[in-house]
Amino acid sequence: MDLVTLGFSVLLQPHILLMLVIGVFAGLVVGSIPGVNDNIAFAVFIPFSFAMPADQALALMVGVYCAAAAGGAIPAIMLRVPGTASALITVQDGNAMARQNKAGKALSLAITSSVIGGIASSVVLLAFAPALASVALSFGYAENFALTVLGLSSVVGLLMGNILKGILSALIGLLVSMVGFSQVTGFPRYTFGNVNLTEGIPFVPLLVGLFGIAAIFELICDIRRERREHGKVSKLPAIGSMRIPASLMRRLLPVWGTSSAIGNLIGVLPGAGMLMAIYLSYDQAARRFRRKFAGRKGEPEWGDGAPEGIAAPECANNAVTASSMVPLLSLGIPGNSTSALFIGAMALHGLVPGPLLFIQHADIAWMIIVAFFVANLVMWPLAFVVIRSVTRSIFAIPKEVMVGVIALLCMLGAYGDGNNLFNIWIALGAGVVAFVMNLAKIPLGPAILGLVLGGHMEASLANALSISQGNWLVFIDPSTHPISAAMIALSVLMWMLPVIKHIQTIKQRKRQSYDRFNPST
Amino acid sequence: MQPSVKAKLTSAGVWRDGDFWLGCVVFILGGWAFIEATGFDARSRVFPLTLSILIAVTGLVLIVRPLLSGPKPSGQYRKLGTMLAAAMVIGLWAMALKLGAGFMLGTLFMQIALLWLAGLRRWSWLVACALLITVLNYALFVVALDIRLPRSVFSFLLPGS
Repeated sequence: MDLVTLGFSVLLQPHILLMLVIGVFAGLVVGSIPGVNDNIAFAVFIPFSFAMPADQALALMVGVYCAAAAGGAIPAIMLRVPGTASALITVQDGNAMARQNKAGKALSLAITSSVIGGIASSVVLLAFAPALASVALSFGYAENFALTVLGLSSVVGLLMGNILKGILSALIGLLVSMVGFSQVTGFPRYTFGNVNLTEGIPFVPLLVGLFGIAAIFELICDIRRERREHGKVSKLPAIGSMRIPASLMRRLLPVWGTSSAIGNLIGVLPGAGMLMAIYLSYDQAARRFRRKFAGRKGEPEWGDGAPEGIAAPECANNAVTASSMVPLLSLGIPGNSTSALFIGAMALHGLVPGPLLFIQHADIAWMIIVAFFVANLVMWPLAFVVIRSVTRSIFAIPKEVMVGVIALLCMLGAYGDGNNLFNIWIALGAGVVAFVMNLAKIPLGPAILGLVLGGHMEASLANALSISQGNWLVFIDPSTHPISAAMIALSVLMWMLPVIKHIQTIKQRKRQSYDRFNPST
Repeated sequence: MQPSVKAKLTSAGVWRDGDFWLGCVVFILGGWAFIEATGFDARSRVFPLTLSILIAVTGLVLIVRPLLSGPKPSGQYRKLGTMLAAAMVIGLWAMALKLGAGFMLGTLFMQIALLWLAGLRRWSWLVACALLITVLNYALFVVALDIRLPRSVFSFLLPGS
């Protein structure tokens, strides 16, 4: 409890609280811009934190992180264009409700659901991150290696698309993390004699490139495609009343509960990402709606303005925000790609996420945790202000202009990390690679995990083997390293899941084709 | 009836499969990383060697897969041209900064080119937007955040300009 008070005492200093409020406001505004996703919002704000003290900078980033995910619902509902990837599903029922002259209600539902999901996840962060960090403090080299294996394996187990490409992404991330002096012997690797690479590829420009620059390329391609297809933006619907009836609030309570639980569960899994949580909770809400409300008088069809179709995805996406910080703050493993950017924001101020953060910088660690709670509380009234006041002005800014603004902000952000021109080349290269990976349908999440975990993984492996005199069984010895053995077993299980699923699919196909050719049996 | 593996292997169109080319690039990347890693000292090379072998094997699987299961041509790669043009604009801007052309002039041209690429065609708008973005960013980063830009031929007017 003392530590929570410590967090609040740091956060409630006027200038830090002000930064949090500015972050929430800015996150809502940037999240509202169509085509600007959560990652760009975050990448754009990293440069602004250069000149600030660590506590103010991180309060700003927490605000941006929480609010950008919620702000994405505004253009999704008003324009049928998701502001962020997290609002992909909100488009369906949200815009349908807006077209029925209930835009205010839809926006209010989205914001309220986001706040509920966000508060639930900040409670999870408060409860689990410090506890997990204290467990992680007792980890030796074997456990640390097993942890990195578990972190990477969780991605493989959770990949929904092409597993091979997911593995390739993780391998590329691991290979890139090898650049620079070896953590084992200090030998320079893959540096080409360039002094800028001796300490590894600079992390902030790399992340700015992977997320910001790649997104600019995507944005340019999208604008050109839209122009080719002569897509015209329809007139904005009137916002109207934003009141949610008490009966609807009661009706949505189970949806909020389920979606918060799903979002939190997915959020704490490294690399799982926000989209999976959104889809799962949307599916749950759809089942409930069809069971309880479909076909009733006055009820819309699912996908045509059902309140559950807005509440579930919006609640789930914000339930992921703080919970994805649990593995990041306690173990140093990012929960999703945006939280990986948080590592960059912390690195700028010499902070390393992981269990030692709670000992060496307890004030900052606890400030971040309580900031998530406060950011969600602040977001609720601020979101209404943004919707009522600046939304229409935001929608008036041409997308083409946003390309120029974001490109320059990202480039100067990359340059500002050490005032080094080499960083611009890193950001540009990373942007090109991320864009090509996206074209080739290679997920970026595993590469980020590989990048973050690579050095740690290699050092832990080398040190564990050195102490055990080259005994590889040290990682699975249940008597001396039970935690490591359990984590390796869990990793194996995660690798096996897609294989088992694949075998089941083949068997099912064979059975179906057998039944087709032998209908009598 | 399922065509035989041999028939599929000879099937035309595999060259149009994006994954085939991706596999080639990945295989070359793995091979290059392997050759580089052989030059590292004994303790530092184990991890990169293992990774490079795994990457090369993944590349091989990506090459072989379209040969076995039939090619899947992808039109997505057409977007590469737009991306390369935008990347070239940013690259030229970075080179201009390095050569001392100055932030203001270099950024103004970079912004005009990017906005044009994004589809803005009215020249008055183009120049006005580019100028506004350039000046605002200069004020923000150089004046407010005190970021030191590379020296330029116009530094006598404004620092880093």
